[in-house]
Amino acid sequence: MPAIAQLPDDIASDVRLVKKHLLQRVGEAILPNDLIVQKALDGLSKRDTAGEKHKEFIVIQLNGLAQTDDRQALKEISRQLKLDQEMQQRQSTSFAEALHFLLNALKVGSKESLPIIMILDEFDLFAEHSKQALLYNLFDIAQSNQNPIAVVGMTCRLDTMDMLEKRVKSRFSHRVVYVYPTMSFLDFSTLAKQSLLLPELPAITHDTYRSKFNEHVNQMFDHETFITMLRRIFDLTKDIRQFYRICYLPISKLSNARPFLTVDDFYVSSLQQRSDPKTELLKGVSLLELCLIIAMKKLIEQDIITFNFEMIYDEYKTFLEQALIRGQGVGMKLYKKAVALKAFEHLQSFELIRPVENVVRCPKEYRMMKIMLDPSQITDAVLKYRDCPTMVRNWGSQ
Amino acid sequence: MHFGHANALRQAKAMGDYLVVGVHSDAEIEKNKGPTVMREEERYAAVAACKWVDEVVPNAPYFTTLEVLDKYDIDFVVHGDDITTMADGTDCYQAVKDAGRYKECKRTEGVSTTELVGRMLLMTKAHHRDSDPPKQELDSFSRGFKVASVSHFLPTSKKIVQFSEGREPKPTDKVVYVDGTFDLFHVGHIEFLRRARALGDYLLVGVHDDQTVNRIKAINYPLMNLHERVLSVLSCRYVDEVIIGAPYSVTEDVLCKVYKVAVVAHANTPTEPDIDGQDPYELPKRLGIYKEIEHSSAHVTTAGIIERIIEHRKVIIYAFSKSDSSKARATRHSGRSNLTFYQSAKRGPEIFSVGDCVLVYNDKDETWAAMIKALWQDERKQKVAKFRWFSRMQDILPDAQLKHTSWNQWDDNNSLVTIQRKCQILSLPKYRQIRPDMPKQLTNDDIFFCQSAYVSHKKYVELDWDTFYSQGEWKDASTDVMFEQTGHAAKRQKTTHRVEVEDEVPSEGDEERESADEFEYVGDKESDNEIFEDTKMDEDEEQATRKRVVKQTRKKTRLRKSKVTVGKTPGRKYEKFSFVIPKREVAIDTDGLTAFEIARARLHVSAVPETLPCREEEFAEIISQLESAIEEGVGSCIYISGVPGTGKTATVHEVIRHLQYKADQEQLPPFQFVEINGMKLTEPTQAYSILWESIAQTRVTASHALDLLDKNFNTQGPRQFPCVVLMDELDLLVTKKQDVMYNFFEWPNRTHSKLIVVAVANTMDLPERMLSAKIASRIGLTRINFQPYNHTQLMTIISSRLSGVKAFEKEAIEFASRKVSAVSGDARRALDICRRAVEIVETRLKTQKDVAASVTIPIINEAIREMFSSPNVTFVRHASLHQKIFILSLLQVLRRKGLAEADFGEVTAQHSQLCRWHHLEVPTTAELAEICAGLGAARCLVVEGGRLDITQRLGFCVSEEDVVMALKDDPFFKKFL
Repeated sequence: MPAIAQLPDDIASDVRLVKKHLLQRVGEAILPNDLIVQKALDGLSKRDTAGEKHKEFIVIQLNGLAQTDDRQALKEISRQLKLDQEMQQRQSTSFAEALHFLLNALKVGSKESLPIIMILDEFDLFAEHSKQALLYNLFDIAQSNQNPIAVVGMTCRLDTMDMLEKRVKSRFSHRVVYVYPTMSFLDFSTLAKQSLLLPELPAITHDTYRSKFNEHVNQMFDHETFITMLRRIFDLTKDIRQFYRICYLPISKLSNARPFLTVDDFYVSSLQQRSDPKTELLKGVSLLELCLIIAMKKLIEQDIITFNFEMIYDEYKTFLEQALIRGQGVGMKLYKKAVALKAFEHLQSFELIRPVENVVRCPKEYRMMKIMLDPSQITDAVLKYRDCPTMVRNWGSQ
Repeated sequence: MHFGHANALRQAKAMGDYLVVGVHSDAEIEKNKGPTVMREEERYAAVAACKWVDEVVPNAPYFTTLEVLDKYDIDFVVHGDDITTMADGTDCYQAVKDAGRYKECKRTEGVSTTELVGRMLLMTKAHHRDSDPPKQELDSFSRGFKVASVSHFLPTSKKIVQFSEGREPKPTDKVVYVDGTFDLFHVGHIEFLRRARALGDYLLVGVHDDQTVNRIKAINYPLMNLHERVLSVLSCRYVDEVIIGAPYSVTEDVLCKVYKVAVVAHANTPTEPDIDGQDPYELPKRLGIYKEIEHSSAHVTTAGIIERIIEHRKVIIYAFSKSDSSKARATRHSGRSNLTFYQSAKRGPEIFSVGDCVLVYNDKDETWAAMIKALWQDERKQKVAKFRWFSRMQDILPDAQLKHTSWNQWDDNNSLVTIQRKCQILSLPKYRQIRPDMPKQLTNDDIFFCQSAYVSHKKYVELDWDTFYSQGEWKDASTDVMFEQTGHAAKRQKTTHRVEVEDEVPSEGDEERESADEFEYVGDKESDNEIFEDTKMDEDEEQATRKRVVKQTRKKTRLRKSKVTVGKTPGRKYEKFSFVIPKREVAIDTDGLTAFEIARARLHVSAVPETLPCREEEFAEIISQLESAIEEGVGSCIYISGVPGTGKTATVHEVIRHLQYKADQEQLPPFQFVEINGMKLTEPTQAYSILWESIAQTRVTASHALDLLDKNFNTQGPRQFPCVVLMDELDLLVTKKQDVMYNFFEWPNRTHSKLIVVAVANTMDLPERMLSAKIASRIGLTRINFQPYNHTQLMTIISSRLSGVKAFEKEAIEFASRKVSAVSGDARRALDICRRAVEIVETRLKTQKDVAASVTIPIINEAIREMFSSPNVTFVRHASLHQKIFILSLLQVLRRKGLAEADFGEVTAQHSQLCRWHHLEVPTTAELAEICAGLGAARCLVVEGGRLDITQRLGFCVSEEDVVMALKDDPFFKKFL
């Protein structure tokens, strides 16, 4: 990936020339930003260009989710710089003093001191701090000429640059590396295959097993179903981790009896992953509740989006009366309002049904509700319901 | 004249047969003691009226010598046992004592002139009070004494016996009765008694008691209590008998019980009626024995005496304080017009004249050399001298000669008591003659040499002491100006000598030495007012400093550190200045670096060059303003505004660097520099702590620092340096009450502060917009606006950085400058673009060897595009299939609804529909929710919280055009758009 290739160069050059660098990496959350940076840093430390002096550097990592405040960020920095003992000794209780001390510590330095690479994860969260004081100070230090420091920020937001204040933005070097999931399907499947193939590690001594295993994997990947499955994942999100998710089950099932991966395992696990949680939830709902839900669906079909219990019960009652007239309602009885209300509240606890506004003080039967299900989901649920009476099924799937 | 005097006369008479009393004239007493209360005629008459006195000698000499005794044929002298010494400690009566003709008598306890006058003065205060005695004070009558009449005199019967004659009237004697208060027995009383006595043979005097008097007269009368008055009356020769505590009205008892009274006499002044409203003399008038006496010495009354005392009050107090042996106080001469000047002062055998060099005490018991420039006596009769100090060169330069002093320009007024002894100050050649070897230790001889004179701005000039001193040039006040001028001229010619420091000046005569009275002024009195005219300026400073002496005795010795004082050696000067501007980066080590690497290093924003190009005007303006403010030692405010990246802070740093360099070269007074950045503080009030820390090197809390700073800038301190404060990011220092702003702009406007504030902000109208009018007016009109750079300026900047490096093509630089100046004019941005371009070229060079080896316009273009392109289009382009469909369905729903946001349910419905139309597998709602959340996290869409499930509202964050642009290349989506 060119992005990965780019990054080590920049940092390496900086470290060599002891220059300051401000970099921002924008990539989707699905992509392993941190992995990229980590890889770059590893490459940097391992790098030993012929004839050139290899410089050491300090890495400080901050995360916007962990350090929600400038003060905590300072504490973390000082801790990672192993200055926390000194900080405690100075009894700097106020943020300002800590900042002052740290700034001085960072300012004091010359070309000879170790370069510091600061990695700010979830950079956009840092930009949401009160005055962006931390960012301002870090960028300011990077721009003034004492301690060599590089600041690398990682985020998944596209508009992080707009979040910066004008002063901070001016000090930012506008050096942004965008990481996109540029893979085509071919790359995706190759990547998936790579992750499953057994590599040539010295730990694996059994050569035949390995070659056979790999052969199976290759076969699997040529399988039609498998390709469809993979395609499906690729169409949804280009995240390789979704693929990993469906790998767990088949791999865990490997044993002496079944030494190789098969397509069926994957298919089963993918089906498992694909299931809609709400539909699964509706499978366990009682019949009365199901009837209520179908009643709601009917109301939605009549373009009534918000309804209260009375309306639902009314619909339910109408349905049963009609069924009785038609002679179909043999096995079902009309439950009393109180019982139905209890079922209704049970549904409410699942948050399948939510009140529209929760301020109005009116009796709970008359409170207006909205259902959090799609009519298609409801139809789906009805069809999948076990031992559903025909009448209900017909009613629900029309 | 009081009964104490009478007692002494009585005792003296008892020792011999014939008593001669010598009474000093007014002039004599005034010369030696102070102004008198009673005039000499009155005193002669009073003494003559005393019954024990046989002869009165008027105008007796003050110092009793043996010649005087022989002249009047006197055998011995009697004096009270509280002998007074003369100012020089000698006994007045020493000679008489040696001749054996001196006798002592006991002093009367509890009474003295001074004490009486004290009572009188206390009474004068009471004049302001209500004269009616309040009811509750009647209770204290029985206890006797009021506020004013506190007496230590304890009455004994012995005294009365001693004073009284004991004579009974003969049966044929005509008894005359008079009554009265007889308070402060004076010549008026004596005269009256004499006339009364002439009316008959036996005089009976009734003395009213205290309560009676108090009732009749004002609240604090009588000044002397009954016993004292009785004794005073008894001492008069005309009085035969006294009734102690006679009633106010003359009653039967009075006329018959004691002796048979033949005549009742009274002065022809109106009398107060008695308590019952009756005339007190009604009975004698009825009996026909009432006689009136002419009041001759009417002008001498008790009240009149008291008034005299009030007039001379100051003098009296002074006399009292002397007699209390109080310390010699430092004085300030208030008026200059009526001071008498002297040529020399004598202390014992020593004589100090104007022009002498003396050694003076200070509270550290170190000696300082000074020259007396004037002597005078101020209103309070304190003897003061004006000293011109010499400072010790040893304190300035540690390796100076021990005896090397230098002539200062500071005068000081001190009491003469601080003079220790004389010393000698010679010129260097003469000194060498006396002492060929320069002493290494401070020897005890008082010979110094002076070679130089101090000038302001810590310079000194050579001074030929011989001519200066002998020809009296030091008297001429214009010589001070001469030094000033030569000093300045020297400065300009840059032939400066070494640094000099103002030395400490001893405190002003607060020590307890002998009273200044030991000094006598000898010689002519000159009225030399000129000396004071040209030291007017010093006066104010002296007064200011004197005030501080009173308040802060600890800082006495640092009194005289004037405007320019500095540490010992130049090298140690900056230890206390914490905000030293960081040194410029040393030249980049250019060996082994390619042109591109050098270019990259130079183009970094932090590599600020020696001079900032295209900011010369602003630089000149700021530096001139700051320089003048520092030199004059006044406060001022400068307001600098400009968008980010226009070089404001860099220019100010540059200015400060220059000024610090100048201060190092001693072309400017040293100053302190503080930088306060609004972004680097948690709270704006911390600015106070930072400012105080740089002034005093102690760290205190913000509120405490505020108090200390306020005090510091209110008073004129001796060690104040000009302080330049750079306040960056001013808008972040604005609080709700705007008090931080107010204080920081108020302090430079105070009279004695030397605070210079340079405020930097982004907007030109920040003072008017955000700050209240009072702060805006204090900021002043010195507003410097840093305009964004135009393209020529940017070109200059970049080219200057790349001078000597062949990495860029000229057009490329111009292109970049134009691009940047069109948008923002931000220098940082321009530098970043160029830097990025260099990096691109470098990476290209690594992979392809055939690319051009310099930065061209297309590369700049690429850099710009990379840095400032929006990722939206690319993002959408790289999204997955269903993500794109989702975006598309949202677009369609919004178009259909005509609103800016849509429900998740609607979008999912649309999405499913789209999928079904194209025979794609419809993703589940959960998967769609995941897609939606992912797009929201990337801020491609704006989504509400996921908890709202299908009711969450979605909107676009990227613009529709971006979406359309991204999707239109895709054949699949083309048909939807």
